[in-house]
Amino acid sequence: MSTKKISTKNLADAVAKRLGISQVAASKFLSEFQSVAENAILEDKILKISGLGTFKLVWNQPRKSVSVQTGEPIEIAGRYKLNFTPETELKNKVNDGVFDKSEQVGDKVASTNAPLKKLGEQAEELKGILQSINGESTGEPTEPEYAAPDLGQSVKQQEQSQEKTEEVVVKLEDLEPKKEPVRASDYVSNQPKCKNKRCCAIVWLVVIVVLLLGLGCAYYFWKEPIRQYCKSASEMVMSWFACDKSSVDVSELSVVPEDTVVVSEDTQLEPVVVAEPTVFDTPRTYTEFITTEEVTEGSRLAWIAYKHYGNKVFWVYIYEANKEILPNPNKLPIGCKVKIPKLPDYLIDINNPECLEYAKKLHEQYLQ
Amino acid sequence: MNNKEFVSELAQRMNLSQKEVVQYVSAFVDELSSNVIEGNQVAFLNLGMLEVRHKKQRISVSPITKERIVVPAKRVLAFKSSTGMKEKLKQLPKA
Repeated sequence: MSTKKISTKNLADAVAKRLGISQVAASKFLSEFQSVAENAILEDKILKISGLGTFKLVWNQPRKSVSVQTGEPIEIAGRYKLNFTPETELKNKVNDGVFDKSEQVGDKVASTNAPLKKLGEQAEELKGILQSINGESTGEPTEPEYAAPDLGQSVKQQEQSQEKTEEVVVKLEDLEPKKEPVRASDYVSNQPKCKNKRCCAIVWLVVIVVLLLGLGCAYYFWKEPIRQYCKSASEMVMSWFACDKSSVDVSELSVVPEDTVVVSEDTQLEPVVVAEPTVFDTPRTYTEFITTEEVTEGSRLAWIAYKHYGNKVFWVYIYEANKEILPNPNKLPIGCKVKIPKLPDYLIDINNPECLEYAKKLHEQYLQ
Repeated sequence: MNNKEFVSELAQRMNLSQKEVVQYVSAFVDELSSNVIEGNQVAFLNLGMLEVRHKKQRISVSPITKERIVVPAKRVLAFKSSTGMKEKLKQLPKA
């Protein structure tokens, strides 16, 4: 139904028909009605007509504003406004009339019954959604009034105010997918998503760590060279500890002579460096011996070497000479007699760093 | 001016009894309101137009409880004063 415009004349005709009077009389009546009403409004500023409502003049105060074009401040003049307040009866009729007349009229979308029912349902659903919003945002228990009609069972949970919000949320899951699946998922899965993510991250971390550990173990047991390397490394550490006990730090001692040698190095070193490779490379034979030392508890090759040659590093030569009776240079069998070989001077020159270097090399070699 | 005064005024002008005038007025109002309810735009003499307006449902928040309430869709009776009436109102002395 396109809205028809009903003029005063149409109304006059209708009134005449209803009252059984002439149209002239009706229109005369209406014109009188009009003039009286107009006067009443203009003079009394209020007019009540029973069955219709109240017409009232309202004074709107002048107010300041800004001109849209120029931006100048302007003042909007005060004016009278004619307000109409319908009587409650008429108001209700208009609102209810929509539904009563709708079937006769038929073509108004909002006035047919089915859409109205839908609207009602929508309102109920919206109430539910709103409740959930309240519940989630404030965390306070929501009013049961709205839960009761549309969310059937929630009446039971009214006593347990804390559980209520959860209940509502759960129910919303049921309700919302019908209308607003996107929003529903947003609301419901906001917090759980975060938790899930965290849990996932932790689980993944644990899994990765376990895998890495497993890989390491597998690699250790499956690869022969690696195991050997580990073993040798541990042995090295052990031997170094032992060495520290038996001999004062070799590196320290080797450094000391360097300081004292500085002067002699310039003159002597160069010819020696050239000659020595051959000297050191020649196989050593131990035929001449100075003395023999008896091994007692606590005696070390290094100390013996220091006693006879002036440096602990040269113990290697003693070891070489006594290889048959000394299986392990770190473990001297107590009571055995160690022969101290007579060494050429170029081998045990304390002032020559080359000698020390070579001895150290041998030292490392034998300890391995 | 209330209804009683209005009716007596009208009766005086038309030389009719108040009873008759009440009859006339109620007939007019009935006719008018029934037309309005049907959804028509009805001229209320030269004062203005009466029409039904549709209000969509909306969400409002109670300022006291901060509670959100759905205000359902409804129809309201609206009055729009005519230009002629507005002009006459402008003539009125300022309040």
